[in-house]
Amino acid sequence: MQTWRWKFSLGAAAALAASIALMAAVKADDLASVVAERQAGMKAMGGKLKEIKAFAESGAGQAEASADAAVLVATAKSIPGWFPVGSGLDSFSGKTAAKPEIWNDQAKFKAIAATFQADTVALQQAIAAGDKAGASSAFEAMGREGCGACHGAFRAKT
Amino acid sequence: MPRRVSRQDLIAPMFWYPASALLLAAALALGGRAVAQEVTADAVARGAYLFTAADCASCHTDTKNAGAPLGGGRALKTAFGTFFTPNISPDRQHGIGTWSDGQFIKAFRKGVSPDGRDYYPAFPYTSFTGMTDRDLLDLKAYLFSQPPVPTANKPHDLNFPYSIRWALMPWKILYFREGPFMGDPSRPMEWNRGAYLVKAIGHCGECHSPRNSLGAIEKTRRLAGVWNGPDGQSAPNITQHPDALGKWSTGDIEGLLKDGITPDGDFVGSGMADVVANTAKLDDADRHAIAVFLKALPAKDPTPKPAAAAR
Repeated sequence: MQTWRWKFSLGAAAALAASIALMAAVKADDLASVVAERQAGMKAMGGKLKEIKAFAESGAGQAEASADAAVLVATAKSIPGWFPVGSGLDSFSGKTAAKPEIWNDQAKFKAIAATFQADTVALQQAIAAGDKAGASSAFEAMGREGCGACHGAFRAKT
Repeated sequence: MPRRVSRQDLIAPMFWYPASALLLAAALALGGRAVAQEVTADAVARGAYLFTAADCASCHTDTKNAGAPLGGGRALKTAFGTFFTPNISPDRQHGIGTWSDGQFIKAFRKGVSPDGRDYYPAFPYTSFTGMTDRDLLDLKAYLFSQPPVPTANKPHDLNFPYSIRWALMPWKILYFREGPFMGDPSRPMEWNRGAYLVKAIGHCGECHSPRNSLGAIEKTRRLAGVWNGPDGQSAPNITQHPDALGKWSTGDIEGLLKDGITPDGDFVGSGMADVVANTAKLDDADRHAIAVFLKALPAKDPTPKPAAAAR
């Protein structure tokens, strides 16, 4: 009886340990794919920004810029979700430049994310109205308060 | 004066330099008092602009720990140890409030403190030595117009042998070339202004160049990028190499300095975001001059990545 119980608990513990290890492995895998996903997402966003900037400068390509702005507004909402705990440079050294400050100063991170979201909406509205000057200043504000502020505080890369 | 630049801002100080040097010498001879320059509202305003162009606040304000402006105390982690930036507010006890004009100029031109100690080149006098006397005194006028901050300076925490300060004497003989920026009369005015902004005031090379084991910039790789710069961060090659700024237009460079955006639609981060917060406030003409100067640089291969640098 005693032996059986001992063996059972040992087996249970082993199973538990194995499942924890498996979960951890899956989690690490998930995190790695999150890192890859957010890098692809950022890059894609950069491409949109280029086209929007072209509109803000020349006033041409309004339809294209409108489509881009819609993507931008949607993407801005998903950005906070791209940074789960454990996806920073201390876990993925050399693969990401996401500083630990993102998780140490969540209040600031979220505040910048919220500003960025509002700025993308303002930009979208200016583009929809065909307002080149408005788009230009909205773009500049978004770059400074959103993109630039976040990269300045939370990205360990120039 | 064999060489001369056509721009008024550059010329005037060059004419005045010998004169003010004489004055300074005379003043020093008369009991250590320095050149007197009348402080005007214009001088303060020009100094504020230079303060921005030189990005002084990035290092001399401990933003991270909510330190008072100009109070210093920001930890600057380098391969040689941690420097704690000094208080540059006009506080008479902890800051530079007792400095004379001559002492201020000497600090920037020669890298020597009022009490005669050599500065570590973490204070980039290696670049600031090129600033004109007038610009330096305008900068001083601005700093002295700011509120004093009663924050005591922290001693640096440097690794051996960098902690031996007297070693800076031979270091300077080896690596430091003193003197105001002289310009190149065969180049356009814009190029000259850009060179002054990049090499002297903006001290771009201090972060964008690799250093040897003695902390001196590797001349052949100046502006070719660094992997383990201040705060352990990398800074890219900004010469005309095709993978650096070779394919950028002057407009692209101006856009980066104004909005922080690269031609790829990326936004600069880290230390460069602080720099852009300041370059965004410069005149369009100055951003253009910087771009013109950078576009005229020869291409250099990027600094190779050292094996030890993880990122």
